[in-house]
Amino acid sequence: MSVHNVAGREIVYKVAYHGPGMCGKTTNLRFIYNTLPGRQVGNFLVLDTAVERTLYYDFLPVVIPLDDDYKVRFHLYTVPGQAYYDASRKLVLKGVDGVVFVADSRGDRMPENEESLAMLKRDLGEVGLDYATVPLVMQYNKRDLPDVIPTEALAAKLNDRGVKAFGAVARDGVGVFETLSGIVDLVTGRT
Amino acid sequence: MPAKYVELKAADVELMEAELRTLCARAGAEAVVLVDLSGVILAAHRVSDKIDHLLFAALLSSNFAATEELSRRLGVTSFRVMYHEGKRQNLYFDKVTDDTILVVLFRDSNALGRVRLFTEKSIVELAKMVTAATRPAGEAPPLPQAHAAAAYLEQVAASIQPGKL
Repeated sequence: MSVHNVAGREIVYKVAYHGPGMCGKTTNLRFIYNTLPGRQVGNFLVLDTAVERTLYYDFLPVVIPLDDDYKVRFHLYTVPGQAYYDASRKLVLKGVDGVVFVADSRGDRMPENEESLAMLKRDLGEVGLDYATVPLVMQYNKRDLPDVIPTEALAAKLNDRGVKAFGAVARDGVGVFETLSGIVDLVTGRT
Repeated sequence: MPAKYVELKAADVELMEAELRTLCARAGAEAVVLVDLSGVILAAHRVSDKIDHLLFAALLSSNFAATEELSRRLGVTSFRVMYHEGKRQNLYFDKVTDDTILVVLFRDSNALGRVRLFTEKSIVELAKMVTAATRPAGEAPPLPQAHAAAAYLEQVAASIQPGKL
């Protein structure tokens, strides 16, 4: 649920990065954190396990100054990818304004991608949102790896809504800001 | 577009902050914060600048959301109150509306009953204010400036060009 603080000249949106375990959700946020000037990003909160898997969520606030002293703030969250962290995922999805679904492009990861997408659909319903209408973009990550499958094949399996999709190598920053811009476009109502 | 949103005009914020001031004084609290369950502070009173407010709100809201999920899985009526007891300071959470919570920070020298009593009184007023400020997305006023955010990020993407696929 976005908050438009007219008095404070600020509008705040919540965006969740969803996808299977180790698909690169945290890597997206880390690249954003490392790239934007310090005044535009807040503290990067990572609540992970000893094996660097997100246990609860990661949180990164990003602020973009606009004209007339207005600013727009995006609270970027990642959800834990593993199926058994179902409860943590739902608490992140509560009140979300937009979702980035990050898929792992490797062929052998397709079952995990599909399982994660099914969980997203179910979890959105359980927090009172509808997968069919929630602002959504897709990111096909890890495009640099040798065993990836064509983006058309990923789209055929995953992109049932025909939303905007971006190829990415999040580790190197490829496609990271294009993806963020894509979801920002949707939540702010530009497209 | 988001499903619904909260629009806070100056008068709304003043009313909420006045209620939080009153609560703070009556309950003898150190700080009070009204948080949206998506993790955004709607109003606050006496929250220290030493605390990162954005992280504070994100952690408070997810903490409460986790408890709600727990109650759902246990099949019990949704918990509306939560209490964390610390060594010197305590946190008291109470649900204001389906999407907002009130969190009171108070010292252990203060009685929980006093905090609870005045929090419950304030919640009635705050719930009216939050409900009045909540709008369905269809009523969202145009905020054309917000569109500039995507254009800015496109520029960032173009400027870093770490490599093409």
